This record gives sequence, C-alpha cells and structure tokens, in this order.
Amino acid sequence: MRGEGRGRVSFVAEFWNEVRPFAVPLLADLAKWLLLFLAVGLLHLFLRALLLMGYNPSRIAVFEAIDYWLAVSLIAVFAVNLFMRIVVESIRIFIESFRRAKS
Amino acid sequence: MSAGARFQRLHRLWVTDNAARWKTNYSIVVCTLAYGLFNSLVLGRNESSVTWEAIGLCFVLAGVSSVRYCFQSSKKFRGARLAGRDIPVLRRPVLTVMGAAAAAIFVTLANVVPFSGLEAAVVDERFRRLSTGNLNDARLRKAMEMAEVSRKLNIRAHPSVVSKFTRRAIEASTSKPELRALAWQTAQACLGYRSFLNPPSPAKPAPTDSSMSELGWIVSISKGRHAADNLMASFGPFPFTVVSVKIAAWSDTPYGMAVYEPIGTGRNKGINSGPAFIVLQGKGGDLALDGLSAKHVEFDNLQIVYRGGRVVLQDVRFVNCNFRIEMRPSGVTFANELLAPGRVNFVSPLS
Repeated sequence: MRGEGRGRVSFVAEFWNEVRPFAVPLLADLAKWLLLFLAVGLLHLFLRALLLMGYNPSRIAVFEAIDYWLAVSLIAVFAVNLFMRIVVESIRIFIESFRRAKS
Repeated sequence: MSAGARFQRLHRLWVTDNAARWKTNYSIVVCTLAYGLFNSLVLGRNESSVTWEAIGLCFVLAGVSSVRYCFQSSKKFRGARLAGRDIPVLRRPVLTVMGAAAAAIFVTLANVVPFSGLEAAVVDERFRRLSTGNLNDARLRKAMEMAEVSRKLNIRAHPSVVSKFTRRAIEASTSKPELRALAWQTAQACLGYRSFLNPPSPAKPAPTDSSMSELGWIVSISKGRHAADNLMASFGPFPFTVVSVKIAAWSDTPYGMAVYEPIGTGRNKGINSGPAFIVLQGKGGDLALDGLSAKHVEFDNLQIVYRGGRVVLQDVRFVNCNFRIEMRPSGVTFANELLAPGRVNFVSPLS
C-alpha cells in the first residue's frame, strides 16, 4: 500500500509547478510596483502633513507637482506594461495553438 | 532575422527579461516626469491636457523601446541576454515580501485609520490655539493660510471652532487699527471656509420658464410639468454668474414662499403657491447682495459681494461661497450674522 503513493504528487504541488514560471516573475513585478506606488502615496501624505503643519504652500507646490507627475508616469508605465504583456501573451498563445492545429 | 525571432524578442522584453524591462520602465518614467514637470512648471500649461500627452508619450516610448530591443544586433543582444537572467526566477524574495507587507499595511491603515478625521482634528487644534492669546500679524496670516489650505484639501474642521476664531478676527479688525486690513481679510477667508463646512440642501431642478431683463434672467418656476399654464412664481433678475436655479421644497401658502427680487418689488403678490426654498448655484462668480430681498434661499458656490447697502435676508444659507464684504458697520454686522448657527437673517439698514 505504501508503494502506491510514492510516485504521486499532490494536486497543490502539481498546480504550483505548472504556474510557477508565470507566477514568480509576476509576483516579483507586483512587489516592485507596490513599492513604487507606496513611495508616491507616502510622499503625498507627507506633503499634506507639511501643509497642515503650516509650511509655506508655494514652496510645497513644487514638490506636489513632482509627486503628481511621478504618480502619472508610474500609472502610465504600469498601464503600458499591462497592455504589452496582454498583447504579447495573446499573440504567443494564438501562434502556439495555430502551430498545434497545423501539426 | 525572421518575424518569429523578432516576436520572441518582443515577448522576452515584456515578459521574461526583467532587467531589460525595468531599465525600459525607469527610462520611460524619467522622460514622462521631465515632460510633465517642464510643461506644467516652466511653460505653465493646462494640467489635464499635459496629463493625456504624458500618457501618450509613455506608449510612444514603449513602442520605440520595443523596436530598439527587437532590432538590435544579435551580438549585442546575446550579451544583454547573458547579463540578465532570461529564466523567470524570483531573484529578490526579500523585496517581494517587503513590498507586499508594506502595501498590506498601507492599505489596512488607509481603511482602518480615519485620516480625514485626524486631519480635521489637527485643523481644529490649530484654530483653537490661534484663538487663544492675543491676535497678531503672524497669527492672522497663519489662520488665513490654514483656512485656504483646509478648503483646498477638503478637510472639514468643526464649524464652531472656525466661527470662534472668525469672530475674534472680526473683532480685531474693528478694535486694532494696526491689524485692520489683515484681520478683515482673514475674517473673509475664514467666512468662506465656514460656508464650505455647511452641507448643501438636496434640491432638484423644477420646470422653469425664463425671460431676459436688462439686469439678467427672470425665472418662473412651476410645481409640475402640467402646471405651466397657471400663474407661476417668479424670481430674479439673476446675474449671469448663477448657472442654475433649483427648488428644495414647495409651499401652498404665500407666506411660506421663497423670495428673490429687488427690495420693494413684490413680484409674487397674488400668487398663492410657489417654491418654499430655492437654491442658486454658481461657479464661483460674483453675486451682489446690495438692494436685494431674499427669503428661503441658498447661495451655492458663488462669490458674495456686499458693499454695505440695503439688503433684506431671511432664512438664507451660504454654502461653499467666498465673501467680499466692504468694511463698514453694516458689513461687520453682516459678517457676524454669517457665523450664527442655523440660517442667516439680516436686514440693513436696521429699522
């Protein structure tokens, strides 16, 4: 009876082995994006706190502009990444299915 | 090189070659940031149009980078491929854990901690501190700045704290000649912030019929669509800065009807039913009160101008307005009336 289970792999392990090549780089990317967005969010909160503490708004306005344009460029680049990945993966899947059908 | 090989490179850039992708990402972020900052700070261009241009620029740069990556020489490419890991392996597990943990904490804090309440508490405390002790030049400037910043950031302090400080500023403008101008300016900024704290009335548009007079639009309002044939209550003339007139309630008695007309006109005599409360909405433009009789009216997002002339205001509200009041005895009384809890009742000259 023991010998029967020796060669078997659990469903979770099998699933993870299957998705690992795709999930791991996605997680690493996600972590980087989260850190960047977190930095922009914290900078925004910090500037708000400075304003409430009574710092000169005209001086803070320059940093607010930097924070805003940083957020805009990060969101735009994130969108570009997402768009390109979806397009490239879709084309790859289409080409592979076409090849399989042909063979 | 075949099209298939070029596509493989494209796939590698956007999916597996982390080093090349992040290098491209950082370059695009730097270019977009520089473009946005230059256009908004140096050229002073409109922010919304520059934002769309910046987003477009990102896509163009991504396209250029893709073409460059796909068409670079094989020798160079081989070197780049060897330098960066082409196999998808999590190279920095610590970074992943740190990023995910920090984001989770941030999201939790943003949902659990009432940031808006905390900010309002800070503004309350600052106004309280400014209210105690002698008012001087520096304190008045700080309060004015505070009122403007809090309004801009949509921070809602407690109205009574703002009212208390504003009363002191009005008092200082009359009792301290050296602070007269600054104290009055601060009082007007605080009055604006105080009106920003008033919640707007729920009002809806009513069937109206409007005609043009020399001074502006006169609007006639009916209760329902089928009542247009009856004699309708009319209001005005409204300046062009009033962009819409809405009603919040209806009255079937002449006494309960709203009034908005030049003093002594009696336009709605003989009309037995009409709006019980009207809301005038603007976009920050001027509305002069001198010579006006208004009853059961809300002024929303307008700059209220009062030069100290005759005016009759009964049961009037000001929501998110700015004030430009001339510093005369009637102006000072009006400013104090604006701070009264509830709705504003003010008649000038006092009979």
